[in-house]
Amino acid sequence: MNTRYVELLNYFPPDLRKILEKTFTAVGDSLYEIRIRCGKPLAIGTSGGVFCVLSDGMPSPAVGGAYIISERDLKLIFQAVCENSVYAFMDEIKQGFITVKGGHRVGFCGRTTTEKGKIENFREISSINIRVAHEVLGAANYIINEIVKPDGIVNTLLVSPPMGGKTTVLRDIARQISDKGTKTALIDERGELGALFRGMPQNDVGLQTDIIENAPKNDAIIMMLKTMSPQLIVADEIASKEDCDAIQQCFGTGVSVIATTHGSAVEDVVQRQNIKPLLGDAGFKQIILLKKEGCGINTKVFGTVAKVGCKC
Amino acid sequence: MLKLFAVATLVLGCGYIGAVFSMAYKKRVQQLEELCNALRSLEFDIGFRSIPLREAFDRAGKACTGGVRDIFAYVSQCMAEERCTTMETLFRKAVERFKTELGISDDDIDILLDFSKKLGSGDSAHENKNIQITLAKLGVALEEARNAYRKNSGLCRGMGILGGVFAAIVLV
Repeated sequence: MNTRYVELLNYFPPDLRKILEKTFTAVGDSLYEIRIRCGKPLAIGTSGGVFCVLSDGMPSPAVGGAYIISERDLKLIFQAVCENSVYAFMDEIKQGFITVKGGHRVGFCGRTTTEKGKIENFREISSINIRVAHEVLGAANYIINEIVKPDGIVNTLLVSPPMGGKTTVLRDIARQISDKGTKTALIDERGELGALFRGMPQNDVGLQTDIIENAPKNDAIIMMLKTMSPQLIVADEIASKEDCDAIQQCFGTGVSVIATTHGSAVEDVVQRQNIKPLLGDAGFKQIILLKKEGCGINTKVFGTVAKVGCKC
Repeated sequence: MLKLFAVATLVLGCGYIGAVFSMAYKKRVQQLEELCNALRSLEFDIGFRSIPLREAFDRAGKACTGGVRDIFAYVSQCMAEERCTTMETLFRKAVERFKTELGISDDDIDILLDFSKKLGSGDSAHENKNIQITLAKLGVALEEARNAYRKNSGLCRGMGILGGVFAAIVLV
């Protein structure tokens, strides 16, 4: 069984743990999420598709004989993820997810309580989705030479559709550059890159990497610039005007930036109102479009480099 | 000489038994006071420091002695080993394990178990309310325990010695 899954098992009640041990062994490294819905079959998402988990632990495309999640199961899992201390995770719960040991992200759904239009807490949990952390060391080997040049780091924007491997590649880029001695600031708004757990990154993000997690990207970038004197800023999924304005400030200070954004074509990205001002000699000098063959963590990621000139 | 030794043994032996009964009252008062202090420590760690219960229990336990310390330390240890369980289950296990070291009554234990049922499932305000309610219940129990101690501890010691004297008169 994948060693990362072992940690995950601790968050399940003993009977469910026994079932999932068999499931994890059966699916190998291809597991990417576990879906737990009250009164519904336990389901897993793998690179081969979505399967129900049978009572004997075997994944099956059919619903018959599947393990049905009880209200108690759901409550126990939620409590375990919160370390039986919901109050200590209120900020994370308001955002709808908690990052647990091993870097896995646990998202919640259910009936919420709100105050002044903002989610305050979950009154009842109806479903939980565990996104299994995938760290692929070497995922950026295909493109690292396009980013790290003898004369320095080229400001780069990575583009791919959702689930295209942006975050996995970005994490590996940060690791590789940081390990070579570049002071790297990791802006990890959703805890997906470093996956801090009690101050310890659960993913290898490099020796010279400082992480700021769960903070709005624009605030985090400015804070990092002021306090950590980074040589490289790495940010995932920039989109809003605030994010782009903060990135613009980095270019002004001479700090290199590598960031990602959603997109399926370079042509679409360069036309975006917020992204457009960031492109060119003083900003992102290249866009790398990530495509992937198949899906899942063993996916081969390759890049096509589109040089972006000042005219963009 | 032998008779004198037998009389002394009987009086001291019965006096000791009386003192043991008296100590039980004192032990309950002490442990209830420690429980209250541990809950106040939890209240601070939950309300102001927002540290998870496992660490909060560890800290609260270190501030106590005897059975109360053992319960908090054991629950903290179990939380590290077995994440997916309820607080009530852990407290029941702890109480069962250290029952012989506890001087508190079954009613006091019920207060503790009631407390554990709601523990860790809400926000700080919810936890604070749970602690306040438990502290109020423990306060009543503590007052009752103090009264019982004042009323009965001297009586137990006296009865022990008097019992010893009576036995010595009858038997020796």
